[in-house]
Amino acid sequence: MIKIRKSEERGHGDRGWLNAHYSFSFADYYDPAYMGFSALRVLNDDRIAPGKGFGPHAHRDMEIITYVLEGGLLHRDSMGEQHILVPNEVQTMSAGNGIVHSEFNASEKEPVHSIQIWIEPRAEDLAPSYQQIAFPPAEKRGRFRLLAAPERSDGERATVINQDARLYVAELAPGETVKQALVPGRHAWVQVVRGKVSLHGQLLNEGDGAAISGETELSFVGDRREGGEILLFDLP
Amino acid sequence: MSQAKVLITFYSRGGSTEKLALAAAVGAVQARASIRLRRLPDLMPAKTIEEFPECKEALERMYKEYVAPGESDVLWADALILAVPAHFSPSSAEWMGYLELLGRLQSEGKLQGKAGSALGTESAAILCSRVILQLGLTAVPPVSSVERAVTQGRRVAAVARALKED
Repeated sequence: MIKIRKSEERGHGDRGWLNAHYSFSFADYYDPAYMGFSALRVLNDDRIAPGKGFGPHAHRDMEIITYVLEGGLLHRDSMGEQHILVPNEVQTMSAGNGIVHSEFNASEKEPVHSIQIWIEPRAEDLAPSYQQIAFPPAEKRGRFRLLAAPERSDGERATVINQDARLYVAELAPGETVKQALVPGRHAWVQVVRGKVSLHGQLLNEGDGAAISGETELSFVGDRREGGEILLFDLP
Repeated sequence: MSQAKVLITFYSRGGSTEKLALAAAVGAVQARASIRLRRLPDLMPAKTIEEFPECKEALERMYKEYVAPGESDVLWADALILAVPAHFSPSSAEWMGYLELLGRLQSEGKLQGKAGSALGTESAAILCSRVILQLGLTAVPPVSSVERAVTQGRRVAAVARALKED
């Protein structure tokens, strides 16, 4: 079963410096029908004005993954980490038993476009941690590049999350097909972050998502004119 | 059990008092409190940068990241943590306005049932603890190091929660 979440039906928050679209309930947007999907609790599509951002605030018991599409996001936290996150990188912050951090557009001139993801951890009170990795863009072209997984692997380096979930990114050229198997009983969420992609014949535009259950093979095709980029979650 | 709300207010130029404030905030979060972090503004930001050129980077960053505490923050909080710099004095330009606000709220009975604690180098924290007692807050002993600030944050949250249930 595939249930599409249209871009324009998402929650919307506009604070002037922040233009955000929420796939699931977040901040002032509350819809009991969209409280998350499986362990995926939050998926925010944020555009942050130059020089602006989220001042220091706290998190607890959440796996927070950030993926930047355009610009640079400056992260600072109570563990002393300070990094700028740019495209073709992934950042995973395990809030664990408590963390305070800030996130700002690192540029005074260019906007930043980023996706922030919250995944519920398998346990509370874990030790907080911060991970950031970069990958060559070729690794996401025409295939699924792993960004986060519950364990370290010998192959592609990905961030480790405290949940039985995997996150991939793939960039599809026009007309290109990529496939991904899904173990029976598992769920998936796909989010189109750039361009257009079709899933089993259904067109998904930029900002659209889809909840997928009861499928064992997923087949995505890049839009014939512009192709597309997708985030794919393999969820318990 | 309702969540305790902890307001951490600090004044910092070079960032070391900010570190203490952050550590206390983490401790409060560990104790499942919700937190607000607020920095007292410099009265003349441009002049402050001129006077403390070695703090330029930290000051510019903090101007961007933090907002000043307001009356609504104090009313929201069940506990107030004051993180003070080594040169703290209740009559210093940065602190005077905030302490006057707290004094007025106390006279209106609006600080009743709240906890308070000071954070800073020893003599400054002791001076600030006296202010906390004068404000009639239920005092949690002051601490001076980042490591102990985490414990202090946890304790303040626990005391605030106990006071709420009292």
